Amino acid sequence: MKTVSLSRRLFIAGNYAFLIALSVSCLFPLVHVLAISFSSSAAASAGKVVLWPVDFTLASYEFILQNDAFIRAFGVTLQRVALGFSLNLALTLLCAYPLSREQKHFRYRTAYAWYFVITILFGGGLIPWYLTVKETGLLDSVWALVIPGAVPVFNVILMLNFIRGLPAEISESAFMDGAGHWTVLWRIVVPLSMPVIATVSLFTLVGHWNAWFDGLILMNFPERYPLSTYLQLMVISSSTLNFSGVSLREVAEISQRTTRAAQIFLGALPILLVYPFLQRFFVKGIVLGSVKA
Amino acid sequence: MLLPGVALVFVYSYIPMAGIVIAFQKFVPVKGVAGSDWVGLGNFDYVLNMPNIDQVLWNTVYIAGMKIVAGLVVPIGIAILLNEVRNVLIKRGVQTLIYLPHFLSWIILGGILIDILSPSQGIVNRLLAALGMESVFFLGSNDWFPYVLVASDVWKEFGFSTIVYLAAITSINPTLYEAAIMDGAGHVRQARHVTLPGMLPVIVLLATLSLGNVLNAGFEQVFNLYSASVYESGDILDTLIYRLGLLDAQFGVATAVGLFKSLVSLVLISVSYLLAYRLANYRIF
Amino acid sequence: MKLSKKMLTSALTGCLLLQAACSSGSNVQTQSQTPAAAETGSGGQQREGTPAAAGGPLDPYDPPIEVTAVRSVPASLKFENGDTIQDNAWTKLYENELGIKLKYLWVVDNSQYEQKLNVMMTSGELPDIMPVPGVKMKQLYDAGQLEDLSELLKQYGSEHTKDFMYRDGGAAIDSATFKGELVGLPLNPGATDTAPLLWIREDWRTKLGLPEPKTMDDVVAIAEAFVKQDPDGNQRNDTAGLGLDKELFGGLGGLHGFFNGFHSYPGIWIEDAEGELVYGSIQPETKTALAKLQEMYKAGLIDREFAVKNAEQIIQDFNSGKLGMYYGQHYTPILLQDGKNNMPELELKPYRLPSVDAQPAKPQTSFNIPEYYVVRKGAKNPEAAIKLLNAYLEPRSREEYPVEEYSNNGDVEKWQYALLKGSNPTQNLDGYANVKKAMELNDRSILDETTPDPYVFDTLTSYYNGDVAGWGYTMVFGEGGAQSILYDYNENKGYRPTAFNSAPTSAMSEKQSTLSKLELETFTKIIMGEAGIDAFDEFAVNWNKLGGDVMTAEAAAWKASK
Repeated sequence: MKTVSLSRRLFIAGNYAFLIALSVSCLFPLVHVLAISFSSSAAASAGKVVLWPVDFTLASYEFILQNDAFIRAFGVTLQRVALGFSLNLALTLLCAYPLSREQKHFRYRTAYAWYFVITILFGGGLIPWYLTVKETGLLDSVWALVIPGAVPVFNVILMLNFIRGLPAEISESAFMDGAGHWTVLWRIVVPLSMPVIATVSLFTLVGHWNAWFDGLILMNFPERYPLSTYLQLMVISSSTLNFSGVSLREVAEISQRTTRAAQIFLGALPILLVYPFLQRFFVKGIVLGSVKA
Repeated sequence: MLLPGVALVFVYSYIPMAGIVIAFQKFVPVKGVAGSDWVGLGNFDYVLNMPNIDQVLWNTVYIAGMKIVAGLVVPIGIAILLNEVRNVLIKRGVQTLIYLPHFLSWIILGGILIDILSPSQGIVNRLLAALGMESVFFLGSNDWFPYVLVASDVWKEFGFSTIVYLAAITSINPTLYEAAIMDGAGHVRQARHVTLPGMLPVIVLLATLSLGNVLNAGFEQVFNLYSASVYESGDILDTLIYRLGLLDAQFGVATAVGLFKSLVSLVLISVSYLLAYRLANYRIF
Repeated sequence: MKLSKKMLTSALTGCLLLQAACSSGSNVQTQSQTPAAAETGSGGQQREGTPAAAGGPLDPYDPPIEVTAVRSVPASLKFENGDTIQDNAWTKLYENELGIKLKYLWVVDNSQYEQKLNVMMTSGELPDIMPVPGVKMKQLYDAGQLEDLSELLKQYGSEHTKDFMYRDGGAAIDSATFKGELVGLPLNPGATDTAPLLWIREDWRTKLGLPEPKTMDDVVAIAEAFVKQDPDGNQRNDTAGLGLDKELFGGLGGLHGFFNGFHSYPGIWIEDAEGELVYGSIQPETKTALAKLQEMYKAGLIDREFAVKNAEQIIQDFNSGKLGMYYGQHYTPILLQDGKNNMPELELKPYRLPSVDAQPAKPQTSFNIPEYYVVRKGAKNPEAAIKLLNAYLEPRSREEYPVEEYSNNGDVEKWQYALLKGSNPTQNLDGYANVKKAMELNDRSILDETTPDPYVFDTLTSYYNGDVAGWGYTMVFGEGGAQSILYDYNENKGYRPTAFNSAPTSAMSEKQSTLSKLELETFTKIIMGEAGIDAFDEFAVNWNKLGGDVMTAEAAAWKASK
């Protein structure tokens, strides 16, 4: 039995303390926003709310959730996330796997890799992108939110890196047993790559959930906006920065710090709920058993 | 297998790239790409002749550079520390919580930071006062502003990279650890000789790709936090371009700047790739 | 790691550059009348086989025509009963009464409208009718894409339309006319609302026994008292003097009013002694005002942290009882309603601008036309736009066209559904006068139901009866409120309007932001004492060097062409 040294114990204690303090600091702003969303407008705009609601009220949530537009936008987002996620993941795997093969097995792999990487670096800007989407007929449909971004190059590169790190013997033996690439991909690579698949899934989900700009430009009518676009517009348009001072009624809308807070929180909520669930996949030692075999 | 990916990328990334030609035009939306005048390198000239461009470029590189470094070191460190945590609940809890700041936009965080760092009422300065030190006008002083930018940005985004590094760590073959322990390695040694090398491919990859951001010092953040009193140290390329009134006359200039940034990134990434290949026979991607 | 960062840059730009179109005035009158169509007189011609004949100002097209358009809507616009922007009482009216089927190509939030316009313009497709800001109108005109509406307005404009268009003496129409061609129909909410006033917390002022501010010295004295004499009585030195935010020239906590007190007019063009157009920010009076501000900052009379505070922080300061004096536009109390809710003893009062000498200070007003309705060149029925405007401005019987359907139903603002809106440049001033009269007579019925006047009347009444929620509006429209002062100025020609009454020229749109940055940075540094007052002279020189001289030349050319 090993005894645990004092320095080790101090380290562990200090580590826990540090990490917990760090997490709390990360939690603080979200709690602050949450508290504002449950407070009265008067208290919020006077800056009285810190971590706990003042004059507890559900008014801002009622206001948002009653709104048809919110529900509709939520539906659009669900659609795009479902479609986008599946497509992204499939394509990520399909691209990462071949690129992870060694140069000797796949001669042009480096060329292809660079082909993809260049697209992260260079772009023609907003207008050509918009025109392309328009010419391919995707404008104003949910597919406009799904197809143009279908290949998440960063995720592909990340994944190819991981796959490369897997022990070669496993796939070698599979090939020798007569398995084709598809079988190797599906039966061997995927199960062994759960941590990176979980990571990439998370990024994709978050990316699709939060992407608001494409919805704004590519959709012609507010009824088709995804949730993030809808929320973003609420936040921006109710910011004092944007005010033109012409309609007095609009002015009254601006003081709605609490509504803004509720919107922010509602926007982030689903992802926050999904994330811990995905953490199951960050599990050690999957590689172990298969190597021994 | 690669075909669908290649095709999609071609259509949606390469074809729009043709629009880079706007960088060489005095682009007016109504005239379209075909109708706008050609100015060759005129847009680049324009940018390079803007008042304070040197200062702005320096700020951009300095701030972005610090962010790249901190953005590497901090998540790696946290990932290793987190790996040492045995308690599953705490580990998962911390993992979840550190990702949270990523979801908040700078519009919100900006407001919070202004409150926290306020010289008269902010928590940080009150702490300093309690410790007997003078209060510091963090957001209004050119000496402090860049560091505030870096620190707050790292705090916001480190969760993202930490996840990637954690995934890398969990993929490390446990037998390597067992071997190290049998050789008598303590925890620190293990971290140095097993964990870090195991993460090396990912570290190198993320480092290389983040080099591509050397001219992206973070528009949204700077925009929400800066003010006239810190233009000198805080104005970056993107905020300068933004103030040019992008929409009306300056699409060409904006594209030109974008092109410039892309070229710089390309050079940096290619150099790293080649270095890794030549020196260590390792292809980063 | 998508390329969205770049797009974000463009998007955020869009957010800040747009102004919301607005203002009511749909002019549906309360007395019963026969439906408008019968009033127009000239008969329409109806023939099969030829393109739909236009007929008179309000005659329907037969057969009906289709007209494409795009527009922006404020994110807060409400709908009810299944209405959408494409299908509501106004679109039905257009179709049923004018034979115009309105088809929107797209609709977007105000903050992204210009962005979307740009993208659309590049793709070369323009709809028949578009509301556009002045700069875009000029761009489109320069590219030969706009229909000349001058003859059409004469021929098809109804009497009411022509009346509204010229109510301000023709300045708005003028700003849309180039070389004799009228290329856009302006929406003119009037410039008086852009004037700054001085706002002071009366409860603090009276508590400390300070006189009403008439001179700039008074202003300084009040600021000093607010800072040093603990007006909120909490034994702490936490109250500020003059409120100021980092933009220096915002609508709440901006400095226009202060500068105006020194007869300086930053940000607008004024005529100098020779009648030439010069830019207000570089004039010597501005320097004098800056020197005073520098003094005040040094003495702690201006918030030490103003340089990092935005408007929202100023609101927070006020609502938490730390701020008692600021310069701002007429609507600002509505933003501060929470302050009143928090502190019922709070009293806020607007004042005429104090002056530094015997000459009264003139509040400055800017060019304030948020949009023009333009028609694409080559549109099949360009006069359709004029008819749509006629439809909006035409007085209608209340029975046939209930207010709840076409104007306002509570806070569902249905007048916004109309594509082409007219506006009364003196909307708020008239509103103030009308409501005042109604309150004196205690007779709500004299007010026009289609304007916000009844709503204002009700709100003021409720406030005087003790409901605090009406405080904001009362500060604007009530006795001694902002509009009363603005009304006064208007009657006595007390404003200093900008002498450059048009959308920005091309040099202006290119150079303005660099120059504004220079101005902001220089002024901020001077006020904070980080630069000496003589930095102003250097600024004036640089301003010209960096493009100001080109702007001045273009302004002069504009003036000469009038």
